Amino acid sequence: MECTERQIAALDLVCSPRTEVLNLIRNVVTTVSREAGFGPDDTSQIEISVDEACTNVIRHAYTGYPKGADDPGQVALRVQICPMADRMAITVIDQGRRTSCEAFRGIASLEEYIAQPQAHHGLGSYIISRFMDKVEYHSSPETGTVLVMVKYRRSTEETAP
Amino acid sequence: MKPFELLEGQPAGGDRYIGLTLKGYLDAHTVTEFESHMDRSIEQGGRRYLLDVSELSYISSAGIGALMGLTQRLRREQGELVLLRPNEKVFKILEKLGFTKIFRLAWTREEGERMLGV
Repeated sequence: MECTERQIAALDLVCSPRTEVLNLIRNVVTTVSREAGFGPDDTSQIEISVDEACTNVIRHAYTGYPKGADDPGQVALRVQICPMADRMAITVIDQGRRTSCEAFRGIASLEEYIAQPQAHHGLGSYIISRFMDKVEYHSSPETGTVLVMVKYRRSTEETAP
Repeated sequence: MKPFELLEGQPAGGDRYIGLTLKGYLDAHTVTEFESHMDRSIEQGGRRYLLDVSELSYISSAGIGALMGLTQRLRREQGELVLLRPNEKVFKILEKLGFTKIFRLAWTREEGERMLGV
């Protein structure tokens, strides 16, 4: 697991799977990213990737929440943020329906997205795959659905002041 | 500051187009309000929009999807959507994903009006 390696700091956020929490998660992620030395462009890409991963969970894994599922211990969106010396790993975990893995299979290209006749889908997963350097997900009844995203620090981008 | 605001102004062009200002962030939480507002406006006859996004601090796929759907809908009905002055952060996300080739972007109100054909 990415977080077991040497790390500067780690945060473990456990949130209700509601869209109201997205801005709060973004604020935390961007603050950690800047403090870990990522520049504004990389921070922006990490921010939107985490937002998309969390939105996928809220929309697909926990569709209908809180109807019939009010126990926050069972219904949670968990975000682990682990900045390390050369990269940052963000893990998004849910215990919802395992459709979030299905939802992760997004579009392959922008052309595919545009060609959709009505509502547009799959852009969130496309963004994650474009902006993060490594993306892995797995799902089991024991672990829930786990999405790990890694962004390596580039030496060329200007770091935040 | 509110997380999301959509302000309708009276543009210099009178009723030739509708000028809107979008402030805050456009994500999965706020997009419904934006889409509802635009639906109502189009049902009332709006076809040409100049959307000032200079104070839009963040946009996710939900917001991009809403703008995409709006653009395609308006173009089918001989209308147009022009995004005015996206800030650097929003512009770079749109550019990196290829949407700057799809959306019409203007850097001045006059340029936007020309794009709208008014």
